[in-house]
Amino acid sequence: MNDQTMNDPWTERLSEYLDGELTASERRDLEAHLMTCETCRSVLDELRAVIVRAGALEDRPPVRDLWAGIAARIGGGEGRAGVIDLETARRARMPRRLQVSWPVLAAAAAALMVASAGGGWLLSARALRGSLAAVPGEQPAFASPAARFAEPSYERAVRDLTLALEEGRARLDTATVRVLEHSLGRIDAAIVQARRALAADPASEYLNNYLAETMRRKLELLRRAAALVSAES
Amino acid sequence: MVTGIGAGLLLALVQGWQTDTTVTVERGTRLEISRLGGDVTVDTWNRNAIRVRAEHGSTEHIEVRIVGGTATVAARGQRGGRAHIVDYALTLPTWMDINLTGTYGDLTVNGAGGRVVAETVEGDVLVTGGRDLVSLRSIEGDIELSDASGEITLYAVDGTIRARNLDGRVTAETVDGDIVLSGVQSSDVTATTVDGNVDYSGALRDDGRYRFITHDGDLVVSVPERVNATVSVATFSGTFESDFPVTLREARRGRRFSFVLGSGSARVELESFEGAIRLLRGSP
Repeated sequence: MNDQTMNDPWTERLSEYLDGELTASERRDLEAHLMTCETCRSVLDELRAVIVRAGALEDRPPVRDLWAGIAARIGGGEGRAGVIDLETARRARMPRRLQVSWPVLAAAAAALMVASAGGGWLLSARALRGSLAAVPGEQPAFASPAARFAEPSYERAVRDLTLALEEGRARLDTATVRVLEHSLGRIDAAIVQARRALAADPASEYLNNYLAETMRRKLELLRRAAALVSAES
Repeated sequence: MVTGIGAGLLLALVQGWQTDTTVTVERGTRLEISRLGGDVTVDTWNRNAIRVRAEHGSTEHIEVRIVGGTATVAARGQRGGRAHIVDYALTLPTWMDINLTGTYGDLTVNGAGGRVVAETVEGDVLVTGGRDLVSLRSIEGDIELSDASGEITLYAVDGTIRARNLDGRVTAETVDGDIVLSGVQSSDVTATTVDGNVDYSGALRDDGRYRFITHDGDLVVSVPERVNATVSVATFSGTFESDFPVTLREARRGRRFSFVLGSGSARVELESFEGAIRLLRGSP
C-alpha cells in the first residue's frame, strides 16, 4: 500500500461500505471514487479476502507458524504499509457469528497484510478497537475469555516483535528506546492489573474487553517500534 | 536523475550555507519530505509556489523536485548522500497536501488547507488547519491540532495530545500522556490513553459514537445541556459522577452500567480502570 492510500479519505471508509453502513450519498460518492481509484479497488478486494479468510479461521486453532517470519519481514525495509480494517471481519455478515478471539483475527489480518504489502503500520487502532467495542445488549463473542487471552498467536506475535525490537535497538536513538520501553512497561503494568481484576471476576465483559484492548495496544506499539527499526535500517 | 513524462519537471539546486528558493507549482501538486532531521515550519500563502528556506551545512545543498504531481524537498550532502540535520522554513500554497516524515525535530504547519500527514520520532507536531485527512504522529513529543476537518488521527506514545475545533472523524491515542479535545463537532470520536487523563468538550451528535478510555487517569467529558445519548460507564476501581440526573438502564458485573440522556440516540462509552469519570454539563 502506498502513500496515496494513506492519504485517501475513502480508504478507511471501505469497511463501512462493505458493512452497508454508509449513507446513500456516501455510498454513491464512494462508488464513484472506486471507478477511478485502482488503489481503493485493490484495498476493497483485500478486505473482502480478510473476511473470507477470517471466516475460514472459525473454530480452528491458529496456524502454528503464523507469525514465523513476520517480524523478519517487518524489519525487512519493505516500506510502509497501509491499513487493514478488522472491523470488517467483526461485522461481516456471515452465516454464523465469528467465534475467533481478537488475537487470532489480528494475527490473520496481519499475516495477510504482511504478505500483500510489507511491514509498517499494520493494523489501524480504530479497526481493532472496533472489533473489541462492546455493543450494548450484545454478549461478548467469546465464551471463555480468560483462556482466550492465552492465545499462542498473540504471545508469539509479542515475542517475535519484541525480538525484532531487541535486535534492532542499536539502530534507534537511546532516548527513543527509553521511551518505547517505558511505554511498553506502562502497558504491561496495565495488563497485569487487568489480568488480576479479570481473575477475580472472569465473567466481567468490561474487564474482558479492557484486557483485550490493552493487549491490542501493546501489540500496536510493538509493531510501530518494529517499523521504526525497519525505517532506520 | 529527475524523470517524468508529461509532468512538471524542475530541479532547483541551490548551493550555499543558507538556501532560499521559490518554485512555481501547478495546482494539485502535493509536497513530500521524508527522513527529516531538524525542525520544519510550514506557513501557507495564496501563491501557486513553494518557497523553501533551509539552514544547513556549507557542504550541503537542497533539492526541490517536482515529478508526477509530487514535489519533494531533500537535503543532500557533499557526495550526494542525505544531509541529516537541516532546519526548514517552507511557504506553501494553502491548498497543498503535505506529507512530512522525520526522525528528530519539531514539525509545525500553520494554515493548511489540504491533507496533512506529519510524523516524527522525537519532536512535537503542531498543526493548524488540514482538511479531508489529517494524520499526526510522534513517538516522543506532543501533538497539537486546531481548526481541522475530515479523517483525523492523532497518535503519540509519550506525549500529550491537544486538539480543538475539529470537525470530522477523530481518533486520538497516546500511551503516556493526556488527551485534551475541545470544540469538537464530530459524530465519531475515540480517545484512549493508558497513563493520562482524557478531557473532552464538544458535541454529542444524535447519530454519533464516542469512546473515551484511560487506565489510571481521569476522564472528564463536558457536553451540552441537551443531549441524546446512551452512556455506558465502566470502571474497575474508579469513581463516577455526573451533572446529569442518572437513571440506570442496566448494571453489569465489573462495575459497568449505562443510562440514557434524552432519546439516547448517540452512543457514549466512558472507561477508566482506576480513575475518576466525570460527565459534566458544558457549553454547546
